Amino acid sequence: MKNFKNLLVVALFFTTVAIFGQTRLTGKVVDETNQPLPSASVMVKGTQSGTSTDFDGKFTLNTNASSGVLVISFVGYSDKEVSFSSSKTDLGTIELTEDSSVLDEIVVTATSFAIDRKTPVAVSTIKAADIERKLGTQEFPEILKSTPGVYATKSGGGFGDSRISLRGFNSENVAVLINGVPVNDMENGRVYWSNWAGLSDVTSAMQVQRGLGASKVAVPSIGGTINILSKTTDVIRGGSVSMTHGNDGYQKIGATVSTGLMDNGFAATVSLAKISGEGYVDGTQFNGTNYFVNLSKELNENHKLSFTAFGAPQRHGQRQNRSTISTYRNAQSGIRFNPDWGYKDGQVTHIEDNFYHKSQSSLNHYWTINENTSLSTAMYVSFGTGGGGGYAGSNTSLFKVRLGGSDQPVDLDNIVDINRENGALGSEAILRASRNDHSWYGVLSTFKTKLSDNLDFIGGIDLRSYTGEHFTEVTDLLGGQYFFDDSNINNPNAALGVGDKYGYHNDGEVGWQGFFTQLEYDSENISAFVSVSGSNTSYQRIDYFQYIPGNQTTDTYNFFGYGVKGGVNYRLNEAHNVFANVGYFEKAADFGSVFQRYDNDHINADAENQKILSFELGYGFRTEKIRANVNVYRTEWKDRTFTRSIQGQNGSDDFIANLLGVNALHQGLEIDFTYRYSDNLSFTGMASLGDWKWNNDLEDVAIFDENQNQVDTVNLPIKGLRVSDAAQTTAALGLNYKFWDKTSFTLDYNYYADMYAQVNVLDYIGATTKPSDTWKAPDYHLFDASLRHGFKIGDFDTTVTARVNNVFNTEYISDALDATDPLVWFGAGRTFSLSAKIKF
Amino acid sequence: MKKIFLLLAVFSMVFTSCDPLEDIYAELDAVPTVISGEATITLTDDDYSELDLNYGNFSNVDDAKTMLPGFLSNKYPTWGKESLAAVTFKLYAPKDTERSLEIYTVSSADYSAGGHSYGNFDSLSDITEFLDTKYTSPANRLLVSLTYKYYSGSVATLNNGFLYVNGGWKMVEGFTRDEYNAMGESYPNFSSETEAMTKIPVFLLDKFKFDNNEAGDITAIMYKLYVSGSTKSYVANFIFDGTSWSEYKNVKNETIKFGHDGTNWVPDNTIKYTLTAADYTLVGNGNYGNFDVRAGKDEETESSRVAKINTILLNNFPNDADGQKYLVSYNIYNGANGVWQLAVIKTGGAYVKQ
Repeated sequence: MKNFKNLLVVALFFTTVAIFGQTRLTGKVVDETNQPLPSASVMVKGTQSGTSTDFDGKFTLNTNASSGVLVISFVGYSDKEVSFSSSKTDLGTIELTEDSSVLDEIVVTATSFAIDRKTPVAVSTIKAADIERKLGTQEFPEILKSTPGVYATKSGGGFGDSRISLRGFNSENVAVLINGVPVNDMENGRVYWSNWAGLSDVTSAMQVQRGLGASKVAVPSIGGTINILSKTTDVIRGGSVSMTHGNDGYQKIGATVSTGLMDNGFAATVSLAKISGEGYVDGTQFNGTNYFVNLSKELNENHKLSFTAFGAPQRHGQRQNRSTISTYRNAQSGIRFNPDWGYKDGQVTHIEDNFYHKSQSSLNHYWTINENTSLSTAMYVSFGTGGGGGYAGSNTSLFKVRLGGSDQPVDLDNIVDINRENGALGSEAILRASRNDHSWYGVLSTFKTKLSDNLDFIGGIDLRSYTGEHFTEVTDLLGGQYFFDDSNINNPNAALGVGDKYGYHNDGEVGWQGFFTQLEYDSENISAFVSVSGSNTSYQRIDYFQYIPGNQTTDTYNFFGYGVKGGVNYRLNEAHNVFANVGYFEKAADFGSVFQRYDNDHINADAENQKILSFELGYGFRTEKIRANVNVYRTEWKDRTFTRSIQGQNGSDDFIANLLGVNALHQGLEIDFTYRYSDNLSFTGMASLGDWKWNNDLEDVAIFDENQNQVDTVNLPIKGLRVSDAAQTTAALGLNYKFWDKTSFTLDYNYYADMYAQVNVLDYIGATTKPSDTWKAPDYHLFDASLRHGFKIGDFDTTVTARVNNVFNTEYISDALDATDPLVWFGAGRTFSLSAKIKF
Repeated sequence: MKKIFLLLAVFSMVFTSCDPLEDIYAELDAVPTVISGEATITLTDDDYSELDLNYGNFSNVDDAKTMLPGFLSNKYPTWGKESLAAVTFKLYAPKDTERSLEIYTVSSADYSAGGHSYGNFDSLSDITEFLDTKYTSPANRLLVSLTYKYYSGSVATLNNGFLYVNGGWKMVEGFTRDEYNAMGESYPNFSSETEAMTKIPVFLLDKFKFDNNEAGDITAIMYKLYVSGSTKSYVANFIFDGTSWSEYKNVKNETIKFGHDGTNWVPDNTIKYTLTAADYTLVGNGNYGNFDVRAGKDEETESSRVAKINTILLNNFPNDADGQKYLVSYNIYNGANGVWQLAVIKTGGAYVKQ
């Protein structure tokens, strides 16, 4: 503490000295809605002297020059130049207008960020300041919960176990791009948010493009695209430290340090954070570290290199299994009840857990070839290692033995005793992990050139190479001498120890060769684009357990997908704009649809593409006080992958039939607005009305074998059934009130309705009567509130944020699985966090 | 500012009272929590006192069936539906002991008259035919102490009792001369009842050593007593407790199973049974060790699960009589793991849902 004081004194001393004899410039930077823009860069033109705005958009800059021009810039906004002189040092409120194309066009192009009133897609953008204010201890995707079309939940409630769906489509059909690089799993298309738990700390902006989106690369954006832009180079030297304390032992400490842009054109930013806690749900303790490194170097005016690496290694207990409502009702810990953990030797032991570290490193090269042409290239590598824990053995019913009633933790000591007693017979029940490691290499290059004043051409390539390694390993013998396994023909009758692989061990090799082209037209009133993309996906499977060496690798199977889309935005005047877009794309089958039976013998080489056809109309209204958007969409998802394994007749081989016609239709209306009532009071709001249904029945669809003999018929009566697992109706209202300059209060209200319990409609195969809609979860209302207060500790900007989620401790069901008695997860009750951030 | 507070107040009033799960919780809370236990007990002296049974036993099984449900409700006040209790109690079950009314030694003439040219009997029916001829209208519970020659490999002279019960002759085993000798008697009789009751249980162990008697078996034995110058035959009952024989004092242990039907304890033979790994394998569910009850899967319908459980129970318990009930617990997968139960009863040789 004493050292800190000394440091403070020294720092103050230097600051005082530096101030001496200089011009002191002050001002405030806001966006078009008069909301402050924190971290905007303020530079004296032609020098390296500058600062950045604080959380309230304010800045104070000391400069030796007695007059000159300030350049104010912020990602996604046009630069603004403001002159100053010794007689004009208070520059007042400076408004930046949203238009990325001017500021850092190359970045916007490469990351496919949409621009307001220009890109003809439905979009919501969330900036770093909002993330800081709204996140609290929530999961990253939950920041988006007040965005139309979004349904985000914590799922089981473990750290990073959240999920998000867009317009009723789950993560397999929602593209997630980080700095323009797609991160959906190459084999199954899913997104695991626990991999990105640390990203919220270093996100500069997050944009949800609903529907087709503005992405040029071929991505599975049936529901939409989530575009996350990390911080890059901080222009100003400095940093921050932050601390957060929250409910259930939540602790987070973090620090960021930046060198600023140095004279030699080099800049570095490093950010680190440590997170731990007990978890709101029983048995979901977690521990994680977030790291982020950005190194950039401006080689010259035309070349800039930027290296970014980030990751968030973590381990957390999970609530994998859902329970019935009555189970929670009767459980000692109520909605926090978790059946998936126990005690071993007095210690909490997670039976279901998750541990993962995915690093994402990219080297970006930005090349301004000439006034009209630029090339942006990202070379990236990502390594993932980790998996999910669970149990295994010949007697897994031992995991039902609990320390008391069925709502109590599992008695693992009992298993240890039994396994120990078994002696040379080995363990009959163990803990295991299903590992899912991968390495991923990619190059994404975007070329942009002006064909004429109004017409731009963009083209690029997207190459990826991916290896996923899958196996189960023994993680705890629970007191036994070994674990018996006979599933590896290359090591039969094995007595395994901790760390040994069992059950299965195989690799999935995925290759991706994609291209994309886009024409963009922009005149005074009209912006338009048309884009074409295509990609070849190749799959190969290597099985180390079921086949002997030399016989383990399959052929490579190729699948081609493509997409065409276009859109027009027409700006009627300053206030009104309308847009329309339309697109069609075909998505290649995923890895699991090709290798259906987890072996190298039953290969579905003719897996069908899924087809997506989407239309959208939008309207935007902008005035000084009101910004509003309305849009309607219609997305047809055709030929959802649906296969049947058919037993060969008269000695012919088994084969896999690919059935077409499982179609869903998602249509809806989305409205969102912000309303600035006064300088102190503003409102936000949205409503999203979805109508998502399965669109047709399969009736006596014939299946033919290779000799065109009819061997079977299929019935799937699902027409009219509601799409499950996401709230079809959502609404939100927000209020932001500024008590005084740096102190504000926000209240957010969310409403969710029409969430049907999750069911796989393909399971209705063979049903003779039409099933009814699945169980509908009760509608629910939630309130979140936060209070921010800014002040100075010495010269350091300090912000304290207090946040309460689910203020009224409402008990609600966020996730449900269809069953006679539905299996559910409850959302968290009231949670809170208190954080402090000190900038230096 | 005022407006904000107003707004906040409205928000609070509208939504604090709003509990999304109100209706579901009300429904759930209306369903009482059921504790389902399983017990095997033997009534103690205290229990009989509590039941006001001064003799320390029940007079008949019907009394037990009437009185024990109340007793169980008191003993296990928290237990509800699907609880099981097997209660062992003492039952007063008198066995008649009688003195012989007729003593007869079969004569050569009797053998000839019956067509037994070798002068002996060689089957039980020979004896009963003879008795039917000799005693044409016997009184009920007439005991004949019969001495006769019997051929079974060789000819021996036997003395056994034959009791006429409900229109038929029932043999009550007696002792041969050699057996009396083995018990230390010079003559084929005992001198006193005390002597008889001491020696017979010891001897029965040897006499029935190849008979595989089980605990609870009661057997009637005829013995002879020489009292005041004449020899008379008596029948006494002996009970085997698994290790030794003792004189049967007209009280035996009986066990009745009771089940709780949600309101009362009722006599019920239900056995609780949890399917094992072998059971799942037997019906082709060995891979996951559960029934997949998701829509469209093999065990979605209850009838399919009943069929598989029927197969399992018939395989495991082939000797169950009709009317045997089981409460079967089995693992299911409906997206998550769970355990469900099914109550079945054997009817017409197959298990069906109760």
